[in-house]
Amino acid sequence: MRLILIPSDKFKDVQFSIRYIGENCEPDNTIRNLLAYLMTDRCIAYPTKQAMNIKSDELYALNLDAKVNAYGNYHGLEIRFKTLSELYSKENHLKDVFEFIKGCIYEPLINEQSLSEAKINLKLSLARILDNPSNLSIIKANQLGSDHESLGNFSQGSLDLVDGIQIEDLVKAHKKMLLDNDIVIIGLGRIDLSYEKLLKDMFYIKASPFKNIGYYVKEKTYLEKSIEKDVKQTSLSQLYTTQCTLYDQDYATLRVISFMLGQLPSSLLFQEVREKRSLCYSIYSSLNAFDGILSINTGIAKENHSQVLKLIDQQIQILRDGLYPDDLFNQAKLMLVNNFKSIEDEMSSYINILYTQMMVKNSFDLERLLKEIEAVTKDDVSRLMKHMKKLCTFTVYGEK
Amino acid sequence: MNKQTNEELNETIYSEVLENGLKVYILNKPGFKNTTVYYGIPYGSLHINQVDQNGKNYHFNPGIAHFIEHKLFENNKGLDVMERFSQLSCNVNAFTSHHETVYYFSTSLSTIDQALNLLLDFVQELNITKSSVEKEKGIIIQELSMYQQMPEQRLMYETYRALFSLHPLKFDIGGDEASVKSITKEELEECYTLNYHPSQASIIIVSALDPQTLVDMIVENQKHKQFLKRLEIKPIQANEPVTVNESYYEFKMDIQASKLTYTYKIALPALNSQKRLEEEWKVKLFLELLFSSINPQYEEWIKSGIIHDYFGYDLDFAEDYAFVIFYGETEDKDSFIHLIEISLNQDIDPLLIYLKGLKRRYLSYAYRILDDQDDYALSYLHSIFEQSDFDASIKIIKAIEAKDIKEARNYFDQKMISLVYMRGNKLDS
Repeated sequence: MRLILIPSDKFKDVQFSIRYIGENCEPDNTIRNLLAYLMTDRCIAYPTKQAMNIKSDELYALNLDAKVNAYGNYHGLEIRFKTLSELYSKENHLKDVFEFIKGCIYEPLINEQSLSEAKINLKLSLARILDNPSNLSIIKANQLGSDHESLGNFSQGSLDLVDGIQIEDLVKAHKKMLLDNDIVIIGLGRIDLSYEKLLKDMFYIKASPFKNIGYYVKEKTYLEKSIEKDVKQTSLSQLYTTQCTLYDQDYATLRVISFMLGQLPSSLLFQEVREKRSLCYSIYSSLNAFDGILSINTGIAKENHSQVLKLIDQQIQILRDGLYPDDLFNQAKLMLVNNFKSIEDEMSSYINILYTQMMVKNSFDLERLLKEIEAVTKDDVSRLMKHMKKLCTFTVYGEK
Repeated sequence: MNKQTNEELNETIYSEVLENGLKVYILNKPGFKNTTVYYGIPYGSLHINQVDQNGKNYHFNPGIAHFIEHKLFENNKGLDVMERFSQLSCNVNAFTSHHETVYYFSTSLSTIDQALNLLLDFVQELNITKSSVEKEKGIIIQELSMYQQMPEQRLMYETYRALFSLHPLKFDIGGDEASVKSITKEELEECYTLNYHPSQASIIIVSALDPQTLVDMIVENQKHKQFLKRLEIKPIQANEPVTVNESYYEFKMDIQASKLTYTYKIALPALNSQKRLEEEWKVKLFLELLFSSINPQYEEWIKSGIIHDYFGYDLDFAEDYAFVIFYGETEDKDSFIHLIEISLNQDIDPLLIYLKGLKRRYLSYAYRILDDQDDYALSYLHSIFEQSDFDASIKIIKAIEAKDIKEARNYFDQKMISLVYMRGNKLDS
């Protein structure tokens, strides 16, 4: 169990995140999603939706949210909550908030009715995600590129599995989560450090810290697949293996590569595909930090599909050959540094970076992160690009 | 420079109006590392029909405000605005809404003079060619396609279209393919000249940096610039009928579950912005009491399967239009409609005991907004454009009483309803 409290008076709210870290596999992911619904819906102490709502209002707009995320081989169920700082409520209401949250986590209302509602909500939520063609192409590309690897498990669960889950499955998974999952608690805002002991007493778990979270998706023969959908635009997702995860020394280099390729207005893809040729509105690259995957995503007109694929190949080759402008390289590093420096002003982003750094380095050191980025050289980029292999492309074709 | 401190919110705001009419507001945030600068123009997608002080009418193509936003980022003097901001270690972006267009950048640097000058320079000069306008059309059409295939966006677009027959709300913010293709360089220039004079604009800076230094930077930039004399311009109000354009509209989309909106078009009397905000809050609290889990019936509706967590309402009370939208996801639209209609006529008295807690919630939200630079700055910008006090909502919420909530029901007229149904695949199969 790890607990980090960052006291700060610059925010009006206080925000906490409690993450339970389990295995990234099915049907666990689907079950943990249902648990996430149940833990924010009702609990033994507040057994109706109305009672939960009234209590949240009483606790100064307490906002309680539970969500799941994949971190390589692991799956995080996160309970996040925020409330008005005691500086502004002028009451000591935080202790009550912790009691309420403990009730939600430890004693959610699990019965036939609540499970049935959670199943409906999860099924419709998954359907909404898959109805969006760009989401669909990303999820399908991850499945296509995975050979029974964690990348292929959609963190939000599987539509096919929801109906088969029973109360006993949930009770068992809930018990396992409370006893066996590693736990990370992060709090930010006006927090009295005396709450540290209280939180430890409330949520202590004697679980081993996670190991081998990050892994490399294996290189495979390049695959292409597509489906059709009755929509206007064609969405495509392309994955690359990089042999580099958040745990590697080279990860700062991979961040710089992704920025140069498709995370800046001056990036190679944005300039070449959008600005020069007007082929799309949005094109970007992103990193699956724990799986060692770089992805490229865009929405285009169907007739431009092969031209865009060719242009993407060309931009990757430019990075391989080191033929990108020095300005772009310097901008990528500058922007990364700027983004990290700004992070302490945004509560949610700050909590997220604290969490990933805790997982990887067991501590958060902003200066170290900045130095790692500043130290990246063009030679580092060339070296890492040699390991980058195209894994697959998935296309959701729209109308012509 | 004026200084205003709100003791209750623990916030200080500095303001200054420059000689050319540009309004500057510094929202001081001690302890914050990031500085964000917003340049806002009260010109949005709804202002396509305007009249100047000489009585000359202007009719622009739908989507023109959004098109200008795109083109300002490109400057034919060889300056790539986005790239230049990246070189300065700044993130830059812009958006167009119904009522305004906003350009903004953020940075963690403590010296922002170059970026601030860049923002002022690129927004205050439209420099386009015919070919660059034509090139942009392809990008904008792809952007429109992207939004059109997002089910929630498409549903809202069709809802506005069913609600209004003449009001520009019936058009998408970006226009449509035909209107985008019709926009010319000359039209963009005329629209820009009419609506982008500095006296129409406001700059909001959220920062821990010294307010006087920030204002001095802007004064220095502006004093070297000459602007054409501003023509007074105002929107031409659409002669929108009180009734809805279409009481029922159904369409098919490649989605799994069907979605719908059930919307009351509201005939709002002529009110100043303060009064309108008061009325909007009364209706909002009325709806929250009836259509959230505060109402014990809510749990019953979920048990019966009529609604689930994709259910809610939205409302907008503007100067020349108002509506309340209920939205949900269901294959059984009749039960959904029945639920809304029965609930609107439900006795609200037993729920009024929860008003105190509800007011506490929204007052806490008012503080929450101040933690987020974007939320804070944009809420402040809206209050400037609406000519209302930033803390007007706080005062209104505190003053609202049970009797005010009861009056809200009078706005819902059974003759002014539009149902839009987005049919999914489940129903067809």
